Amino acid sequence: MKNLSIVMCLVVWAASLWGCTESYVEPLPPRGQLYYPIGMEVHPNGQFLYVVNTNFDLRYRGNLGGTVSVVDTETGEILSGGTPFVPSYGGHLRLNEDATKAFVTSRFNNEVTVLTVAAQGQALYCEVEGEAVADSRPCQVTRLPDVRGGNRLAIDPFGLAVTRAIRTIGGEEQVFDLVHVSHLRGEQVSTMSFPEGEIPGASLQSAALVSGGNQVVSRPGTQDLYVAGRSDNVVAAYRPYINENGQVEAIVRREVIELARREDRVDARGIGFDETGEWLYVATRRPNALHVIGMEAGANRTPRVVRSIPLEQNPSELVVHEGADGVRRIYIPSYRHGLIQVVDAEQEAVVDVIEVGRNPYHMVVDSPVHCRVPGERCQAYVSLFDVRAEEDRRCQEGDESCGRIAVLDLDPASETFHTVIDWIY
Amino acid sequence: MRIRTSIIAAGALATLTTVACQQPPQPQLVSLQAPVKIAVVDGVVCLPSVERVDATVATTPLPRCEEGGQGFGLVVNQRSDKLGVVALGQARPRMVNLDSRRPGVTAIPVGRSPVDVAVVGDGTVAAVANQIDGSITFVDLWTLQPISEVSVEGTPQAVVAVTDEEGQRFAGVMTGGPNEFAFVAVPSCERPEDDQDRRDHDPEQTCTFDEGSAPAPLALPGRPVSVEFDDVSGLGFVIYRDLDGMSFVALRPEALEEDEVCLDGGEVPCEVARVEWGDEDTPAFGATSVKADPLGFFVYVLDRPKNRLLVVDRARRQLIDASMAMEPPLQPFSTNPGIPLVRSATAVAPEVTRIVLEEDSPGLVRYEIGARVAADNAQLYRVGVANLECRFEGSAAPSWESLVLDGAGRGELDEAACLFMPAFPLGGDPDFDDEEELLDRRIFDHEGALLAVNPVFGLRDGDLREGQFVGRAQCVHPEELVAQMEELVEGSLTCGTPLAPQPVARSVETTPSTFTDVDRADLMEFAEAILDGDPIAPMIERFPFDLRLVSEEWTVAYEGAIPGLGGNERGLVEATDGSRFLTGGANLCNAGVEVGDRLRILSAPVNESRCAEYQGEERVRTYEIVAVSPFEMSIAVIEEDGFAQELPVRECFNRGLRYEVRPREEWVVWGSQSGMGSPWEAEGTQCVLREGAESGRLSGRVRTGEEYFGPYLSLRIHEGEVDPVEGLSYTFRVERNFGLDAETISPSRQQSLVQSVLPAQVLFLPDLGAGRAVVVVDQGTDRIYVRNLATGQVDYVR
Repeated sequence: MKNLSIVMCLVVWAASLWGCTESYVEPLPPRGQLYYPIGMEVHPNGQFLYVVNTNFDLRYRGNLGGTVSVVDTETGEILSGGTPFVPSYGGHLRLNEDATKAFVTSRFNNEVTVLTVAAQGQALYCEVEGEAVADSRPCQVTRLPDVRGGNRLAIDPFGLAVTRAIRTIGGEEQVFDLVHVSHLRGEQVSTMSFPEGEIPGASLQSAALVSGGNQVVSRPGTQDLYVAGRSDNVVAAYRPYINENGQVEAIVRREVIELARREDRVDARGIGFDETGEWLYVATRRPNALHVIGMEAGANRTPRVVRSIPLEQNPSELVVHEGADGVRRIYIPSYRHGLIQVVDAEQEAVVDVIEVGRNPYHMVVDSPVHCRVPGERCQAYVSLFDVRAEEDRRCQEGDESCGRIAVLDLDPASETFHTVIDWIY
Repeated sequence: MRIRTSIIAAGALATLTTVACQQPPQPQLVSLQAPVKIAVVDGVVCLPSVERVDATVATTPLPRCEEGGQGFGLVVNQRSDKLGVVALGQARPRMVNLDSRRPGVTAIPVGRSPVDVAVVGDGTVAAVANQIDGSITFVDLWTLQPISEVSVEGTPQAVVAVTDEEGQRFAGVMTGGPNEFAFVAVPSCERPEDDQDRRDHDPEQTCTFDEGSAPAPLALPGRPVSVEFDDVSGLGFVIYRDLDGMSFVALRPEALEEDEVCLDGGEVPCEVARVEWGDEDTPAFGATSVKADPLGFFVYVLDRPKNRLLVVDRARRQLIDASMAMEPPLQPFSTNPGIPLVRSATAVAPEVTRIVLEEDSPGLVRYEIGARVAADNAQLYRVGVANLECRFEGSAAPSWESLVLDGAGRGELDEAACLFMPAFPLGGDPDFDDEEELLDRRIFDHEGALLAVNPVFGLRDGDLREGQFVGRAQCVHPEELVAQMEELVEGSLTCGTPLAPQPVARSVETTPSTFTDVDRADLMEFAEAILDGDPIAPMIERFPFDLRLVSEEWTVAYEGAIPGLGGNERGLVEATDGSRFLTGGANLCNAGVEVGDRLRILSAPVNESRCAEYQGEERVRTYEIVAVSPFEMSIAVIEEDGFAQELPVRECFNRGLRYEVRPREEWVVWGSQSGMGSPWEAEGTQCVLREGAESGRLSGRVRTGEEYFGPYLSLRIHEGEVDPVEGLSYTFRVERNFGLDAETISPSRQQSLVQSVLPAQVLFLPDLGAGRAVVVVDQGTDRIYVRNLATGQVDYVR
């Protein structure tokens, strides 16, 4: 008992040294492990992978039960020292254009967390008065401005895209990170504008465009955002209006692309553009299909579905990647069957299947500094949600960690092309 | 003991059987996993009836068709990598369980991600195209066992049965990357003896490959997406994703038309012709699927994203411009060469309905030629291309199959003289042609037969109702006219005239009894040439062409304000030159503004003494338009009392202005949906006449006493006893009454929860024993819907 008391005091003391204004309430998640991972992002230098751990069973405290693991892609090691705490039910993570900020959605209290990225990407943290802290509570945004009457972020923020706007203010150029969010419940899409990626002075607007927005992507070469919904049968396109002061003033609806007519809720799970912005791909569960949309295929050069390709059941994501061999491929994980279907975009055909293990959820491809020529490293990372670390079985109560990352080889010249070459857990 | 056991077993079996007969049909086990294509096996190998509860058939090899059984279907399942067998020749279609020793419904394992199937060779083998494996799986149809898997270069997109000029049979495989049409040798299989269990049979024992050499692959000009091949004629049709066009591919010399050669200067097999429908400014997205009509007249290309069906004249190797081919033509209002369809049509199948009106002496037959398209809203639509009536000496063909499918023998039939189709468009315009001219264009002599050909080129109308005017025409009488009218008309002056049910024949003369009468508009009539009477003589029958009508309200206004122009505060007086008026973005060419019209500034001027010239009623601020360019007009003072005698100045009109433009001594005509026609379009800084303006149908204005031709109606304003003045207007409503001829793809006996959502294929079945049917393969609901054409009953398998 006495030893326990000492330990408790030490923990409290350590927590106070950590820079929090109040002591933690246990339990906090371990920072060196994965725990129901979903969203991921790769640092532009290719050296670090960021993984959002959701604490999906609320084993750990709700408001800080999640983490964002920082993984060294060379060693596969989770750098616990650089891993911050974030709210539970995290969704996705995106970096801004110069990789100085990371934005994370979470649904515990409907927040977006604004993290600072260390110079080389080796850590993520919340910056409080110049200090780097792992407790992200001061960096969580639920309302902008954060005063009474400020615009509140809509419920269940999930999908995420980050773009940038530049305004000249007082004779000087100022950069604004625009964070676009889709919401799993309701019909809202949101855009937040962060001056220089900072929360003070940020603004927020939302609009009802699509029901159950799962993911939002920006169309290359434009300022338009496209959102596909779980509870809808369309893809909605919009553009935020950013005024001369860099504030988001409005969400302007641009167009709607119909995916299906007989089916009201197609349960769209993956959306992505090719690098030119001429083709849009959407993976749905009702039906289980990949919809290929030519952005000028319709009459009067309007976007229309050109073809629908059957998929394995329960597609969970969609990633478009042009390989070092110049072939554009679309990777679609099947949550139900533990595999990734590979579609050749040119042939509009499923050309390969990659077995990855239980519950593949999200996939992200290596940084463009890799993948340039055949023979060069090119990897992809797939989050496996509800699977034990070292065996392909469902997590059990009491497991210290849950989930793992499959590392895929995407080098077309490699003998292990389109196979799992490593695991991270 | 043994005998007793047997009796007990037999009794139990009898009991079970009886119970089974009394019970409702067993729910179907799920066996389809993303079905994308079905092929019919009919001719050599047949399937016995599937009557057992477990959907199995005998374990002996399948019977020869002459010995019994029925044709059946083979369906590829892209998700399960299996080829399923469908019993289609019985009252209710069923998936066949090929092996009851295994759980579930056993199908034939093939390669990974199969996307197409075809019966090839001598009819004893099927070929399946597998995309992930890049291969073709051959299947022995006697035993329903896979024989072998042959690799092909590239990603297989389709497989068809082809025969080269030496009579050798191949599986024609269309691939992408490389884009080519390859020839793969096919096996032929002997039927094993009846003592063989087909479930365990090794087909290599009874199947052999042809030793002959295959032709070299044929390179294609784009990435192919769909192919249709007529092995009887040796002609194929290929469409692409990156090319807005269709290739004619000849595999044998007899497929070439007279003087036709290979485009590359080589020899068959080769591309012999190509039709294209894109333009240089628009990126190519290709089309969705290609099908050939069974009579050999047309090839249909479905373009899903552009909601249209393109029609190609097969014999003449030409794309038919549907907007010109329909009568009256849609041009100049539309230059889309395809038949407009509903949104998101995903599959098409050619359809020809043959109606025998007189059996013989002479024979009289009517064909309705067109297609069925399935869309993602669970609807199957009928599309009409042309109706053909034929009178010929001799007897009608004994059956539809003998006329259509028996390519070699049909030349012997009397009715074969009817197999003629002229080139479209037929020319002329029924609006302006008299009946003699119409018959001239529609009636043909061919090999002793008399044919009446009527173009349709549109979705068919299922309601067969007539478009008409409805309600009452309304009128607006300006105050200054009322007094004059009251002097002429005794009693109360009502505004509005009832409209008699329309349509009326063109020849009906109407003389207005009062100035409020507007001559009834004549609907653009669809004229059909028919063969009737004794002796049979062609005649014209007219009825409203519903397809082109629009449910809307029409307004005819004397010196009316051109609609949609100047209502927002955007007009500007040029800062230094008051004779120039800027529209603020409105395109004057598109709006139909012309020199001689009048500009009226509706916004009041600045309220200062120096602007007194412009004060007062709006009419004061009216100017004559002396020049028109897309976004600017030059104006001049109207030297008459009541109008401002000075051009406007910016100091008095210093902000965005509301304005209107009115013609002089003309009526403006516009529809609430059709808008107001304009023969002008902008070209640089000028307004130039649009293509088709000479037809007179593009104008949105008409003078008293002259005839107005609109997109689907014409009208005439007669002179009355009182001259019209600005503000006099009439309105009337048109009701289209067009109901699409469509059927819901949904099982007859169940809830609508399983309606089709993503049809992959539509196919008309020959009579395999249960009557003719149309099949819809749905990759979204994992079902195959079968609709009996005679009863209308819809069943499904899953």
